[in-house]
Amino acid sequence: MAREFLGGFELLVLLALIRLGDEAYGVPIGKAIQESSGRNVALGSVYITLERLETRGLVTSERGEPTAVRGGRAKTFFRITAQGLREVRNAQRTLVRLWGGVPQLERTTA
Amino acid sequence: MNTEAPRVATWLAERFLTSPRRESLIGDLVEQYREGRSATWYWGQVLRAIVVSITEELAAHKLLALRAVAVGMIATYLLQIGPIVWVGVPAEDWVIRRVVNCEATGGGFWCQFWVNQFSFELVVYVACALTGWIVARLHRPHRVAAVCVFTVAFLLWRFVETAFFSQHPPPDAMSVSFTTVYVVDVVAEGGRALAILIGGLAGARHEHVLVPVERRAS
Repeated sequence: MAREFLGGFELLVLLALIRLGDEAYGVPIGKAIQESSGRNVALGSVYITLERLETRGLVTSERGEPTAVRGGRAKTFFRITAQGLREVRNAQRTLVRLWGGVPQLERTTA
Repeated sequence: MNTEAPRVATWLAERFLTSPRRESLIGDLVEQYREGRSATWYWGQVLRAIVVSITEELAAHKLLALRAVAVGMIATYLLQIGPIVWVGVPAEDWVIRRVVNCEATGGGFWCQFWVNQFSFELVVYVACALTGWIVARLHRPHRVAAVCVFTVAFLLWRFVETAFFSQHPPPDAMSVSFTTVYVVDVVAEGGRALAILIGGLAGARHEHVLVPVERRAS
């Protein structure tokens, strides 16, 4: 099967997971993406993306303990896998190569 | 600080989110609501999450979506040519003979409307709920998505048909404006769609309320 490219939102989610480390669950992941992109993020989209990435083996998940502040509902913590990290590096290399030498983009990178 | 998240929105999320991580997602929304987010934000997040999760499931199972619509349409047709005629028409006749005869009392459009709602349409609503239940039971692994896609298809079909017939209203509807007839029809179709969803939820109840999330995910 041909290897799938990471989608834009998938890449954002994986980068948020790398930044957050062991504290990566829905709320901080959504906030990290929102703060860096300046756009409102639907938590439903974050979860759907995480589930898709988990199916592809790029993310693992672990259930936490239920807490009262969440109405007795448990958190699900997500972590990037070694394969996920490789995919992010590949995406980074591809993007950097494509960005290089494009005069229209050089002005905005300053 | 807000303490309790909007109950209806949470109820909808618990029943309509198809994600195996449903409980964690709702917990995240409740956590943010208690941190000071508004009820509007909470409702928006819940509705978007429902749409996204159902769309994702249907995109992954396109044939299932077609099958759900086909099964629903066949069930609707069979119920319309059978029980609705056998039970609905006699029920309306009984109400007219025993309770109120709008033509004799000069009750007009609204009298006929309410007689219809509490006799013939009542049977139609039950038939619609039964249709939703059948669709849910025949698509057990993806019940919510199947019922929702059929409900949307049903509404589209009925709205097109209603729009067509409202251009050619029957003579007995002439006592009120075309707009009134159209709005009443649209509301009635909305009621039928709601009945399908309620029946579908009853058929999907075990999956979404009684089975723990971990078992679905495994």
